[in-house]
Amino acid sequence: MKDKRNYNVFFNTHTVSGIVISVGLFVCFFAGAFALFQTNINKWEANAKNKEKLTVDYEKTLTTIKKKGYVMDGRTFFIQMMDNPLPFIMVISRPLRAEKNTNTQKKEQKNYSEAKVEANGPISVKIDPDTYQIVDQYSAESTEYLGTFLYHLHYFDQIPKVGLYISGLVSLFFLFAIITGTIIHWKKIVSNFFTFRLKASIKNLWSDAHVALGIIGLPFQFMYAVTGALFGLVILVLLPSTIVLFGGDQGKLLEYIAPAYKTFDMANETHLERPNINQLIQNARKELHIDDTVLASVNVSNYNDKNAHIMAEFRVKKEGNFYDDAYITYRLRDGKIVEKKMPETHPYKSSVLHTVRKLHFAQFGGYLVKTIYFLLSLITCFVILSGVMLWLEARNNKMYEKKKKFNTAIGAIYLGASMGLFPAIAFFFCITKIIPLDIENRFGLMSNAFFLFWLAYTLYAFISKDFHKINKHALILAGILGIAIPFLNGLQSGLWFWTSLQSNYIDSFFIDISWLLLGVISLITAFSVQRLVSHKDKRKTKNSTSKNRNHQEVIDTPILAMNESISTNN
Amino acid sequence: MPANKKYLTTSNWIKFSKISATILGAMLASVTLHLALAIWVGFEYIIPTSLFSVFILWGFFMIMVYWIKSPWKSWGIFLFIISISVAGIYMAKN
Repeated sequence: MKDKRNYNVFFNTHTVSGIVISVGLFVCFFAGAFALFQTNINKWEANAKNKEKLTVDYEKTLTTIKKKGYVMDGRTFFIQMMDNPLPFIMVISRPLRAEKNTNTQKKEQKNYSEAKVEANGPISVKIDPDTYQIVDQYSAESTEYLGTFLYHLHYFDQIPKVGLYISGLVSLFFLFAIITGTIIHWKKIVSNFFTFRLKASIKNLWSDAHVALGIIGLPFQFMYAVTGALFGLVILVLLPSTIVLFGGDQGKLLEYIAPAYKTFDMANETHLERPNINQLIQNARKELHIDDTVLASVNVSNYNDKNAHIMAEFRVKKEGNFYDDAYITYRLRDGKIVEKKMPETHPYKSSVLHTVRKLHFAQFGGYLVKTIYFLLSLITCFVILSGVMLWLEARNNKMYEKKKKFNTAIGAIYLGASMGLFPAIAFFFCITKIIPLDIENRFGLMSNAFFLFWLAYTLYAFISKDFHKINKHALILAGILGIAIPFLNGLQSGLWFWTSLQSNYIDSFFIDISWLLLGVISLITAFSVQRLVSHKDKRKTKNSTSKNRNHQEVIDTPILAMNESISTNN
Repeated sequence: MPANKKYLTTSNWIKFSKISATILGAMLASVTLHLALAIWVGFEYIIPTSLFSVFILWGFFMIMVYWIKSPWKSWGIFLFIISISVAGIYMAKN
């Protein structure tokens, strides 16, 4: 009795939570699968090579920032060389607290009255590593690129302000759905895993596929549910801990989750004399045994203060090493080592966030792991959609006759919005190579076109309401557009996929070949799938034909005969 | 295949209570319990762990709400956890 109650209650919560989050979760996993390769996609779009050797002159970088008119004293700067898609130096600094620097602020503003910058405000700029000029004054991120766009799409960043939190909640309900799903199938988990009834009812087909693939992907999905909730709703951990445990000082909290970025108290005493930062970074490389090819993330805290510190963090690219980070912190006024973490040691507090990030972004094991992640993400997408199909099929009977129209419409919209994302992404890839580069607001136009395409496909799905066609046409469209991508790229950039590898355009080659494969697989799938016909419909057609013919003649194909035997057994 | 309605509640109040317990109650219980543990056991291990365990515990609390039949009982458990944790934090801070 109790068992039955639990089974039914969890079944219901699994269904409801699954249906509510389905499209959102599909977008998370589908766009996220592409976002795993965001740097590759950006480089493909910009026809860029991997730069061999990149160096940063930190002193010059800081001078550039100062010349721009920002107040420097007491700031914390994060400086990192990025190669996405073209090399640039990223400088980020949080706004200064106004009351501390009222005097210096006035002085500086007089000096740089022409500069239209908020001297105490936040800094987020891109600097050209050759000329040390500011390229982008407003964003240190490569926002206007397709890979980054897809990355933002996967946590709904296009929805202003609340997008990230919505994605966090979707992740949390995904966790709930995973656990309830496992509870429902717990008793038959082994036998159901080895069951795949292709020829029974459509409902059985969907449910067997849903269960088996759900179990295969379970560890992967659990990891993404937890880490996704963490990235979306991390504020729920950080905010209470900061307020309750550290009296509002977030820097103190950082010591426990990212010790490399912990803050130091200000001495409130100006101290300008210091060793050269470039030299210190070189010393750091020697100290940690890191060669020049590994780029550093540098964090300068309390700049120009007596208690200024500089931290350099490196990600060593070593084979078979999951924990690859190393950092060193110097006191800036005399270059004394304050803290040091070698790549071989990994204390717990600095490893947790690191592990979460590596797992979520597949930053280990190179292309192999990313490809496995990609496939597992697609499997998860299939589990989501088969869940929706199962929901519909279970309601495709007399009991739900009244709601049938509504349910079918919901199903069509869900399927259209989910499957439509695939051709829409392929379409976006195509237009990045078609639209001329010098058009004003080029990226805004392209992203609007993408959303319109997606919306149009959803509308088409809503109007057609034929699930087989929605699915098939999405695959055909994505297949054609996908195969076109490498050729459009070749026409636009001259980088054909049969020559790009030799000339070292690895990303161009990788994306082209991947789309060619994806496109071909989509087309093959689209043209080989057959319409799923329920027994009820089969019986209907049979009855109508058997009026004229002998009943035995109709069951001539082996599949129909097999279906017949199964349905009579049931 | 759809769940047997016989076992499901029809009262909107119970539905509302359960949904609010899964979102608000479970979240508050999980977060305050972690804060209290951080104070009792020490920051060193609890704070980094809480990054992910807050959400796992939240998830399991959500399951608990639907496992326990009475919505008031699950709210009672959450309020008990929350008050014990808040009292613990309060005592440790003063």
